[in-house]
Amino acid sequence: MQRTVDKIIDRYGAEEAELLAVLMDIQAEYNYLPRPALERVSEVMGVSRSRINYMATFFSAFSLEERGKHICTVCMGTACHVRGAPMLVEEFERILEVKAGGTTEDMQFTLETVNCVGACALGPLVIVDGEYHGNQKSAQVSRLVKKVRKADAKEGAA
Amino acid sequence: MIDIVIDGKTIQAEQGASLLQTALDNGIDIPHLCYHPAVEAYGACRLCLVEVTAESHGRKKTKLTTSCNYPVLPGIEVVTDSENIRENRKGVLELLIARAPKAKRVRELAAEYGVDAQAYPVSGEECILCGLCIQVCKDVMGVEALGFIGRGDKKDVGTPFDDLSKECIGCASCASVCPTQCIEVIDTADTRELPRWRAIHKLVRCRICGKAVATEKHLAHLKKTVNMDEDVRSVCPTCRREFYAKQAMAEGHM
Ligand code: SF4
Ligand code: SF4
Ligand code: FES
Ligand code: FES
Repeated sequence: MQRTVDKIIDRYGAEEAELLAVLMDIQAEYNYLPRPALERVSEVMGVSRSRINYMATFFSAFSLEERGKHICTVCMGTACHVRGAPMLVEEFERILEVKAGGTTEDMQFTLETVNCVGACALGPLVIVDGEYHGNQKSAQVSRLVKKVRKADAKEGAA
Repeated sequence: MIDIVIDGKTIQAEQGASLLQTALDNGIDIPHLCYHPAVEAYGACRLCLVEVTAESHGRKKTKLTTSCNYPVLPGIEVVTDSENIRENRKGVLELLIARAPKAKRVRELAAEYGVDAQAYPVSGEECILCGLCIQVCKDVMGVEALGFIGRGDKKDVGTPFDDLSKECIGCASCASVCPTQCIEVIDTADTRELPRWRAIHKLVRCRICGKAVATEKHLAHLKKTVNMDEDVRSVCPTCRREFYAKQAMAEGHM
């Protein structure tokens, strides 16, 4: 992990101003911000752990807890909320057997909610592994999950 | 030194100095929470509001501003108490007491400004998130053990991550400047605990009288920063003075 982190820092340089970019890349690499990676960032960039922790907890895009291989995000902003987002969350919770904010035991899925991603007209909105799906109904949730599982199975077989 | 006017009185002040500090030095009280002379003012609590009249482009303009981070400038006229100021401070206090209903200092000020403190239950939080502890730890001690965590209604101050604080040296500077006194320091025979920061330290006692001098880590930090000699560091200030006095006498300086 140290090598990976060092490589990411090399990309931007060890200036404190690049901290956000570095954390974003670490998050992209691991799907969360592993503690050892942050310790390494503090060491190499000379930024205090307090400062890193503040940034890591300030943006909801960051997670300090290990997350699943796949991230399902349901928008719970006002527009999506009134169009039935809570029902989508419930459906995800039922299918994945995990509460919002949690990760399945097999570390395959993390279910998250956000407050408005700026695409209200398409609400209710679901984002699966960075892909946006608009106008979702609860019936479509199981299809989204199945699609991901199928792709994984294929990958595993290949 | 330049002349400025505060509440109708002409006062000699140093240009560029903190307006709040200047007022305080001249016996004019302006309520404030997050200001401390040891660190640069950063205007977090918004309580130290005053009205400043200054000339810009040939016209006099009055504005409401925080005084701790407002510099003394030539020709300014300052009012520290008015209907408008009180109204605004009251608004600030309403927010502060909603955040930290348990903080004694906030409750006192709220009562003084006619904010109904009774409306807020005395439970929970005492920290007003002013960040003074963070500043002092970083800028005065050079430690950076503390930082803000999260944002919005989940914002907090604390140490990073979950285990015992690695950085904290147990100097208790943060506790001594906290305006709401919500950083507890528990000293026992040989430990000092700061539960809020999840820090437990070994206390070093004075070699002569046995009083607590400082934590082990604090002494190690002093050694690095001011290069103090080991013998002197493990003696409390009182005994240290006596020690030097005796030494001076023995050497015939006194
Ligand atoms: S006691 Fe710890 S947290 Fe407080 S100022 Fe000292 S080093 Fe910082
Ligand atoms: S603990 Fe005290 S000094 Fe630190 S932010 Fe809270 S109120 Fe301010
Ligand atoms: S509320 Fe969901 S995108 Fe704005
Ligand atoms: S004392 Fe000036 S803003 Fe807090």
